Amino acid sequence: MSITANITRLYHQFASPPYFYRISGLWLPYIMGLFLILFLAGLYGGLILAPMDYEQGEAYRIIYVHVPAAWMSLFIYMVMAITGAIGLIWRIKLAEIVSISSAPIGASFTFLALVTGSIWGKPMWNTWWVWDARLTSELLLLFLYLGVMALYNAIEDKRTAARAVAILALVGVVNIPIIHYSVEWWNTLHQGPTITKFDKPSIHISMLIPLLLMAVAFKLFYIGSLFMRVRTELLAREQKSKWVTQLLEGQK
Amino acid sequence: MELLDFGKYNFYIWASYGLTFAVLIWNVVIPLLEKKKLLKNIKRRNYLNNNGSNDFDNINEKTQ
Repeated sequence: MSITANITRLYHQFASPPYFYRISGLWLPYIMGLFLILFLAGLYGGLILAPMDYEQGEAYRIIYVHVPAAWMSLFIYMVMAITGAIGLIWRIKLAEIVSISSAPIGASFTFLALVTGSIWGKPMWNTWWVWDARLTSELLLLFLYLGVMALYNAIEDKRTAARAVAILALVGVVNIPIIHYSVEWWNTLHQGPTITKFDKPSIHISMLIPLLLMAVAFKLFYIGSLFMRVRTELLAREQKSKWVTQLLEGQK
Repeated sequence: MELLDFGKYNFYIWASYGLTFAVLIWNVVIPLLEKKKLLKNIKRRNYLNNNGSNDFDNINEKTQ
């Protein structure tokens, strides 16, 4: 068998609800365990080991939750849009479920990025909020997530709902590069990128390591939380099927 | 300097981290509650199906 055929077979196997349910259940404790280790290490590094910033004082430590949350808000949106497109084109149920299950998690991280940014803005800029490009486009992202969730809940047939939501999510993708480049395209109060610059990042290594630990921890957490939601949604949608009946009978 | 004392920025830092914990916990608790609710619904529907009521099955379909 050729490699492509093997990959296709693996892909179909992984996308089959009973298989995904079983494998994700096996992985979940390890994902959440690793998240916890990295998260605690990141907290220790960020709040205790990392030195004070010469310009922003202690307040910069908000970076360790604000920046990973903001990265996740963009990353989860892309996952939601791409899996939504996969569901739209190939009608793969698992892709639809991953897409819609990502929405509340993405919304919560967007909310976290906005509020921690606001809390950081107060001592640094002396204001909780300004209507500049970065902040406004990130707020729009939150509304996109909430719109996706509302639209999904408003349509009774869940497969139709998933298709409608995928289109909305794809249209909203245009906002993603706007958020990312907003600090370069427009004059904003928000500081420019310090990590993703192509030359050397302008942040000291002892400040950078906790940030990267937190970023990986948040990604793992997203996968873990997503798996929890997807598993429940799979059970709900397939509750009449044989594998769910057998699974639930086995639990008694 | 005291450990974990951020001087005049204490409020801002602890508010941010507290909120982070809240968001993380929310993202675990809500899926757990939803799963619990679903399992209860499935169990109840199965029980009613086995005891001769078909009406509930239809109601349950709509609420999913």
